[in-house]
Amino acid sequence: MTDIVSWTVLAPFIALAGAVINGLFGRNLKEPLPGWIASGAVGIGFFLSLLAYFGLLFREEKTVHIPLWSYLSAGNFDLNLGFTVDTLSITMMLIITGVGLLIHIYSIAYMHGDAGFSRYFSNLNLFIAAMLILVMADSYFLMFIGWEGVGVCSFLLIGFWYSDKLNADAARKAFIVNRIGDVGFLLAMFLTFKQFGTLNIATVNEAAGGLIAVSGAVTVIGLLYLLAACGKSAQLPLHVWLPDAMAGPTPVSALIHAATMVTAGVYLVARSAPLFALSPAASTVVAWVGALTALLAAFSALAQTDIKKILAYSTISQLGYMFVAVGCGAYWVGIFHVFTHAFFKALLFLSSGSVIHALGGEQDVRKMGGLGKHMKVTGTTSLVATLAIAGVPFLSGFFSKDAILAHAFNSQLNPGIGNYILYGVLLVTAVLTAFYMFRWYYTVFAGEERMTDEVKTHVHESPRLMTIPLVILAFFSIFAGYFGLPEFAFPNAFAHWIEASTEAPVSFAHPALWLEWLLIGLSVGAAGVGLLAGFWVYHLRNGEPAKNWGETSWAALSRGGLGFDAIYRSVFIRGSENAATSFRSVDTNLIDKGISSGFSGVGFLARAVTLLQTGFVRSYAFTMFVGVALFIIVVAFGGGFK
Amino acid sequence: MVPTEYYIALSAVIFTIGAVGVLTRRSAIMIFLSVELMLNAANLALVAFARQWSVLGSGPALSGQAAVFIILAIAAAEVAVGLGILVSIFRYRSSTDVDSLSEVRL
Amino acid sequence: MLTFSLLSIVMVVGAIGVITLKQPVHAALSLVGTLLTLAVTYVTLQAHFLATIQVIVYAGAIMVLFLFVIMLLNIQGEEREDTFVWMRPVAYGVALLAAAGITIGAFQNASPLPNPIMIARALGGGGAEQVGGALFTDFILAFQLVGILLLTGIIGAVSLVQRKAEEAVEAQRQVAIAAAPSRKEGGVAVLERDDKPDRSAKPTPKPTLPPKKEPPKADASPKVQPPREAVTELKSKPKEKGEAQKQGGEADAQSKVDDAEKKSSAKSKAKEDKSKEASKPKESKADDLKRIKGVGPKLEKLLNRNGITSFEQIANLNAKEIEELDSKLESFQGRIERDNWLEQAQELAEEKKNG
Repeated sequence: MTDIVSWTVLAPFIALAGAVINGLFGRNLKEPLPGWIASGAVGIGFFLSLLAYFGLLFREEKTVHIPLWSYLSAGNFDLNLGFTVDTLSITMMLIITGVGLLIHIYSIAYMHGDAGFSRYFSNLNLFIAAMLILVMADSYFLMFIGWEGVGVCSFLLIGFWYSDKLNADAARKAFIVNRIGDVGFLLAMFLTFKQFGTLNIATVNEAAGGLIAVSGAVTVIGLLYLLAACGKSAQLPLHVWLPDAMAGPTPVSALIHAATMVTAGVYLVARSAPLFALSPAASTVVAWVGALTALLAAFSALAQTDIKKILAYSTISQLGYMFVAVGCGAYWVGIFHVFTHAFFKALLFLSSGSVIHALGGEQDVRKMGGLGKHMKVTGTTSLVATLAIAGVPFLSGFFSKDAILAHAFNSQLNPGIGNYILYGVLLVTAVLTAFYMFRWYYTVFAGEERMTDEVKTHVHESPRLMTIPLVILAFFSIFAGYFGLPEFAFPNAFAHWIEASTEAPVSFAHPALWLEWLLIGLSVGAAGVGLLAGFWVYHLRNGEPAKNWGETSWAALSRGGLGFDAIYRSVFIRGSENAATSFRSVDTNLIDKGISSGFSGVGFLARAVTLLQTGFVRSYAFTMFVGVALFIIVVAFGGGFK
Repeated sequence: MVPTEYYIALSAVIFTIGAVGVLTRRSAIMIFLSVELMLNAANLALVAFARQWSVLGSGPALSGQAAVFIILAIAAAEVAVGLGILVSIFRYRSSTDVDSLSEVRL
Repeated sequence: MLTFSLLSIVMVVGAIGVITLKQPVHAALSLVGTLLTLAVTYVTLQAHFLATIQVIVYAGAIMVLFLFVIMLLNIQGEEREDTFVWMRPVAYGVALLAAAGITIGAFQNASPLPNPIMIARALGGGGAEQVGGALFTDFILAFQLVGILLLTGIIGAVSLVQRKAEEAVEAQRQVAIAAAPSRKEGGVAVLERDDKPDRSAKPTPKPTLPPKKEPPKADASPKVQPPREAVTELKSKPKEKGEAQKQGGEADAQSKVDDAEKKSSAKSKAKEDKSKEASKPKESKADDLKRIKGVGPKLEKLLNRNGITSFEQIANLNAKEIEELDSKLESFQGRIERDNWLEQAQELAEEKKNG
């Protein structure tokens, strides 16, 4: 264990230990202590990841494999658990532990006074542990363990305030939709094993790299992994759980549903890069799913009124961007956007939390406004994040989003007009993104104050434990993008870094320089258009056009999340509910009654048998006589008395 | 000499008559009498077989008759005890009806 | 063959007679005939000693014992309705099948008879010497055990029928009384326990009872007697109670004669209750004494006959009365203390009062 990188293996276990301590003993610890224990565990994890990062940075072979245990060995089927620490996983780990640490600290203040304080931190640590296992896993099997683990933690944390049925329902919905994705993961694992004979990711990738011909099986595997990724990363059609997941505490939304868990799908595709590169069909589906999701989610965000739901749809939309990236073969770009998105989205969510906290629980943006004056730090950092996500140049979001657009345009994985359409869709989405984010910022922090007077008196800036993470995240929202400057003209450290782990036979066209600059210009223009439109609607026209539009059926469609929930309810849920009701009636009438009539049948039989016990000697004698006579008859007529 | 099977048939007839008597009569005394019939039918069968197997020597042959002897003694003891039981039951019930002795039932 | 046929016909006729004749004495005599015929059959089978024994022991001793008991208990023919009417034809059918089976089996597996010389040599005429030889050599153990069995039988029989001196006297008297009045109507061949004159303090009601009671008494089972029971030596106004009850009892007894059931004393108890209720409620209504643990229907009747009909009576027994009552309980003696009747009766009486 002298290898500094291999010390990272401790990170998930330390987080797990933190979860256990808080879970078992948290109740006896006084309030901020469980929070600090949890933050400490994550902090250690972050430190270890940092060490490992520097360790990897300066070595040639940017992969370290740490075998742990042999799980099962049956015949020629071996399941060994181990961790792989390479550039991709280190990046993810840094995001997880870094942003996670900030959110833990934030939560200490946010969850102050909550009855389930230690339970919260226990679950949060558990999540960190599971997520770390997910990204460090060297086999699909271990990744699946982490995959399931984060699903469970998501369930636990969404339904944290479970006494309210709505929260419990939201948690259940998240878990069930995730489960559907998990079926895809399982099937993909089975197929992977059948095709490649192993579940070890490195082996599979190597083998896939060696395969020239594209076989249908690989496409199917890719599509199944896509299904799993859709479930976890809230892409169409399994995106319906994310808006509801806002029922959980805001830091949870920040960590799990913005920065880390939902990016697991992107990570999966990036990890399996050779596999997806081998199957242009699957990759194209990935890209298109991402694009459609991005567009439709952005559209749905337009008419939302809950401060967190806007951000939820925004997350779905941004995840769509990431899927487009990895679908086009630009794996590092997808991870790059994961990287930058983690910062500004977490920041957005945390500042929402700050606002909610300040307003005493209000979450409706129509009842907010002008908070920038009262909450300077929150307001400023939120502005930074808004601009970042909109794609304003020189902020992180600009770089990553632009990279996606450029690579979508230039992708050679499936060349053709589809790329251009993808690009167009993403561009439109960028406009919408800028618009609705401006709306978000303006309705909350600027403009007239629409809060009740009573709330107004309460408004205050959040405590330092909450604002410091905000500032740190804002810092990264600005500067994180400089790792990944546009490749065609500038040195790009991020790409080389990630590509060390995602070697795949993909290529991109290199159009003329002017086209590249044009693409950048277009994306800036899109952001500008969106922001200006927002400015015009909300600041100049005081929101009137928005109100008018809000009455149209388009707005209703947007508000209802494009009716996915309604469709699912009528198609799947009604049907299952009816089936369940009919099964219940079968259960009570048929089975319960059947069983109870079985009882009474037994009782009936027993009573019938008691008829034999008449108490009359004669009937007993008769029975015996009949028995003996039968015996004699059978023997006599049967075989004789030999 | 009459072949053995005739005696066996006769024994069977008497035995079954006795059995029917056990089943159809209701007074305990009558049942006893029927039981005696059955015992005697069995004795007849034994004696007939004793003669039949005298081909094997006097050992097997006489064992049949000895068995009958012993059964006779047992029947005597049984009757004595049985009638004793009957009398004591009869004292308290004033009826020999077997069907009224149904307190063994559940 | 002729001998055999004759003998078998006589035997079968005798057997059928045993099972069909109504009067026990006739049936027993029929059995005697069968057994004697059987003895003759033994002779044809070269079992002379056994034939002798059969006559002496079976037809002689055992059947005599039967007849003795029949006459002692004065058992009459039976005639009530059959509970298992269906049993009769089924039994016949099954019996027929079984007999046929054995017969067919016998005939199918028949081995030829050994020649007479061999038989004579083996059986030796079936004389005492031969059978005794076998018994005392090959079957010595069985012989001894049979001896023990007979001893056991004697002891058992004696202990079963023995009873105390006064009971014996009692029984004799009952037999005498029971033998006297006419019992021509159908009904159980019962040996009726009469109302005990010696148990009552006042014999006066007695003479009035029988004449009125003749018809119902004949067919009424003893279970209807308690309503007629006039006397208790413990409570006041036994006569009135007796009269009243007897009136009610009579009327009810009349109506209830038909379904005088042999079985459930429950039914008779119900009758008792009803008849008691019908009577003048001067005395407390007769309680269901069977609710006291240790008191069954027979015992209840006994108690009623002795004048105890309610829980209060039992609860209020003093030591002397307990002794007296106890001595009258025949085989149920000792129960009053053993089953703690007083306490139970007390509780039940209170319950009755409150409930």
